Amino acid sequence: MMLSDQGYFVLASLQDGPLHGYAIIKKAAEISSGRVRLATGTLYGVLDRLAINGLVVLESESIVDGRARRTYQLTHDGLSALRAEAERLASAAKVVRPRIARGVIAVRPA
Amino acid sequence: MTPELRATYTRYLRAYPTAWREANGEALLDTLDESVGPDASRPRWREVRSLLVNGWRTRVTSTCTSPGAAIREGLVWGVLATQAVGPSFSVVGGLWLIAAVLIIAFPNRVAAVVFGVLAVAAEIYGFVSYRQPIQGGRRDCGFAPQSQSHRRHCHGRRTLHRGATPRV
Repeated sequence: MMLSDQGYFVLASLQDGPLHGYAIIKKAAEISSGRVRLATGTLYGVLDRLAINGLVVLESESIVDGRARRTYQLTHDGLSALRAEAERLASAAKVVRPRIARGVIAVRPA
Repeated sequence: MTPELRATYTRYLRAYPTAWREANGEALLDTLDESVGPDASRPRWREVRSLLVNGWRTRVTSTCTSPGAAIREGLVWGVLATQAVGPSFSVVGGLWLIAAVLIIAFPNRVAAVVFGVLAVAAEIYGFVSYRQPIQGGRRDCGFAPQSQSHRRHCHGRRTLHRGATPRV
């Protein structure tokens, strides 16, 4: 399964343990430096698709402060999908980074 | 969020299929509640949009499991839209709906190409059929000649098709 940007950051936010809906929204925004700001409907859409593909599971459901709180957890498949995507992104970045380090400057059009 | 705002968001949740809403609706609203804060009283556009888009998407993906099923679904929606809006809408609206259903059910490059082709076809059809009255008389709008719909459709415009009588 191809991971979308949103799917990638949702999985990444679950690396350190299970989280509930709002915590995933906050964490995804934090680790993506504010780039991935999930609306609630979008979050549940992403979680649905990840769950159908077996990458996350519902860990528990409880009532906290009168609110239904569902926590989601990464599965083994989810972790390997996340790592595979991270490898892919890293190798894509490698094509560009060494040039920046060597100080190659793009030629300006005349 | 205020109880009124919760009621507003609950209405937008109807975009989702009933079964999905019963299983996940409360959890979604509680997450939304946490994310907008206790004092929020007006709906946020990006939240509303995400409910409508994802709700419809959930509806479509739960019935469209193959491209064939997606086209069937698109045709059904096209027919429904035709009933609601009027016969002149049929081809343009039908094509658009098939395209929209496809792109929602299969959000990948294939769907994007199909969407582009259908959109252009719909645009061309709409443009041509609007500009050219059918040869030898007035173009039939499809509504009954004496009906309110016919008058609104044919006589409410600034430019009249050939043979139409101006509004008195």
